[in-house]
Amino acid sequence: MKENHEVYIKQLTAGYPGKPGIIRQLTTRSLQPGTITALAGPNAAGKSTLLKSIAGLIPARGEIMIGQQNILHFPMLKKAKLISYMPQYLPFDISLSVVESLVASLKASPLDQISAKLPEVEKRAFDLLEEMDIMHLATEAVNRLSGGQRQLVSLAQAIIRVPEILLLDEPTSALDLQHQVTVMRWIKNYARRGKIILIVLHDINMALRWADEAILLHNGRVYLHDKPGAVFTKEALKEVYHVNADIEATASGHLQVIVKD
Amino acid sequence: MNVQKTDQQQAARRIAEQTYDRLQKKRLLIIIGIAVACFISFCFDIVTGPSSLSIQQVLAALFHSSSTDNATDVIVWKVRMPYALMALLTGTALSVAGAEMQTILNNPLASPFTLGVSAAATFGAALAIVLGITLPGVSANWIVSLNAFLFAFGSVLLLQAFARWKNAGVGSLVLFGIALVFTFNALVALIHYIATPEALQQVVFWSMGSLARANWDKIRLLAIVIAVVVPFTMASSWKMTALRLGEERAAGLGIQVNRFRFMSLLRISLLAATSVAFVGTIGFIGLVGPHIARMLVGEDHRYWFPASLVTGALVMSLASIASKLLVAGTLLPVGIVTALIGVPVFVYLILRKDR
Repeated sequence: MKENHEVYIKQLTAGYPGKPGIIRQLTTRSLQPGTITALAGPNAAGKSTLLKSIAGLIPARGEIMIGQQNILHFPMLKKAKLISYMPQYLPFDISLSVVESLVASLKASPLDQISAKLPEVEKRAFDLLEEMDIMHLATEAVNRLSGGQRQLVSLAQAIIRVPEILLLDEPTSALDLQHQVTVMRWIKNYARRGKIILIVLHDINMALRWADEAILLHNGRVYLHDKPGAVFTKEALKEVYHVNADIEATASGHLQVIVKD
Repeated sequence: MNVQKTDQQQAARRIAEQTYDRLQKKRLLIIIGIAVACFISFCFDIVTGPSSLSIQQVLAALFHSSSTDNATDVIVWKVRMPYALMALLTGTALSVAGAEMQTILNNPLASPFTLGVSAAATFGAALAIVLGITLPGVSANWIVSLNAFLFAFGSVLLLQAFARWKNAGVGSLVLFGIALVFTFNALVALIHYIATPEALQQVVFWSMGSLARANWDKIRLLAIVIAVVVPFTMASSWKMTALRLGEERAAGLGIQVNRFRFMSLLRISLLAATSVAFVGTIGFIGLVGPHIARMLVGEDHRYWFPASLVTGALVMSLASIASKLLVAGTLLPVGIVTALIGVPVFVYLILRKDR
C-alpha cells in the first residue's frame, strides 16, 4: 500500500495526561525506507514519547506524513497495519509457547495482505523462526526464556506483521554482547527490505555502529538529525549530555565515544 | 535471505512443527478428558446423597419414572438432578468469569469476587431479606435472588463507570474494586446489626454459598446466560491472548484496550452476578479453575477458556459430592466445602508445580 514511502514528522506535539508537551513542535528530516534511524538523547528528552505517539499509543497533534497521508489520525486498526511497536520488555509471566505468541500477534489483528487462516499463520510463524534461526525456541514457554531470547521473540512478534515502520524502544538495553549483536543484525536485515526503523538507543556506540541516521533529542525537540557521525560530536555530547568526550575512529574505521575524566 | 536451507535446518523445523502439533493435540485431549471427568462426576453426584437410594432406584427414576415411587422421583428429579446441574453451571460461570478477569486485570489473583461482585450480591440479598421486599406474583425466594443480581451487576457497572470517568488503569480498577468489597461488607454488617434474629439467620445462611437453592427455573436461566455469554468470550480469545503480551503491545495491534476491558467486564458481571444470585457466595472456583487450567494448557486463550470452563465445572461438581459425603447424612453448604477442601488441594498443586 504505502511501500517505500518516506516518512516526515512535522510539528509533532505529544505528552501524557497531566504531563503534556513532552515533545513540542518536533520536526524531522525524512526517514528513508531501508534505513535504521537511532533515537538518542538524555533521559526525559522524549524518546519513548516520540515512539509512542507515532505508534498511536498516546494522543498527539501535528503531522506524521507517509506520502500524502497524515497517519496520525488513522484509526488504530489501520495504523496497526503499517506500524509495529516493540515495547522495552515483554511481560515476564506469559504461559504461552513462542509459536502461540507469534500466531496471536497476527490473529488478534489480521493484516490485509496476509491470510488470517490459522494454518497459514502458523506456517508464517515457523518461517520467521527459521529465518531468525531460533527454531529451537518454537515450543518453549515464553516465561522460560532468557532475557536475550525473550527480546528476539519480542522482535519476532513485531516483525511477523511485516510493518512498513518498525518502532523499537531500547531493544538491546538488557542484553549481553552476543545478543545485542544478534538483535541488531536482525533489525538491520529487516531494514534492508525497504522498511523504516526507528530505534531508541541509549548506547551511543551502538548508534554509531548500527544506525544509518541518528536523531538527537533534547528537551522534546530535535537537536540534530543527520548521519550518526555528524550527530554525535564532541560539541553535541557536551551540550546535550553535559559530558566531556572524544569521538575517535577505531583501526577498522568505526567511530567510538571515549568519555574523558 | 535466500540462503539454501540446510538439512539440519529442515530437520529442526520438522521436529519443531511436530512438537507444536503434539502440544496442540495434547491440549485438546486434556480439555476433552476433563469434560468426560465432569460427566462422570455429574453421574456420581446424582447417585450420592443422604437419602440412601440404591443406584438401581436412581436409574429407574431417571429412565422409567413411572415405575418408581413418588418419593424417589422427587429426590432424584427435584433435589439431586438440580443440585448436580447447578454445580456444573455455577462452576462453569464462575470459572470463565475468573479467567476473563485474570487476563483483563493482568492479575492471576483476580476472581469475580476480587472486585466486590459477591459482596454486593450478599448486600442485595440481605437487604431483600431484612426489608421483606415483595412483588405481587413473585416468590420471596426469587426476590432475594433478583435483588442480589441487581446489586452484583450494579457494582460492576459502578466499576466500569469509574474506569471510564477516570480512564483508570488496571491498578486503580483493582483498588476501587477492593474499596467496594469493604464498603459492601460494612453495609452487610450493618444489616446484621439491625436485623431481627430470624432475618439474621436467613442472611447468614444466604451468604454461605449453597446449591440447596437450585431449581429448574434457575438452572434454565443460568444455562441461557452461559450459552449467550460464553461464545462472546471465546470470540475474544485472540485479542485476550494478545493482551497477555502487554497492554501497549495489544494497543499497538489496534485493540482498544479500555473498550475491550469494558465488554469483558460486562460478560464477567453477567456470569458472576447470575450465579452468585442463585447459589450465594462460592469463592475460590473463579480463582482455582483458571489456575489449574493454566497449569494444564497454558494461556493460549483458545484452549485456556474452554479448559477453565470444564475445570471449574469439575471442581464444583466434586465439591458438591464432597458436601454430601463429608458428614454422613448431612448436606454441607458447598461454599464451605470449596474453601475447606479446595484450598489445601490448590496449595499442593502450586507447590508441586514450583518444585
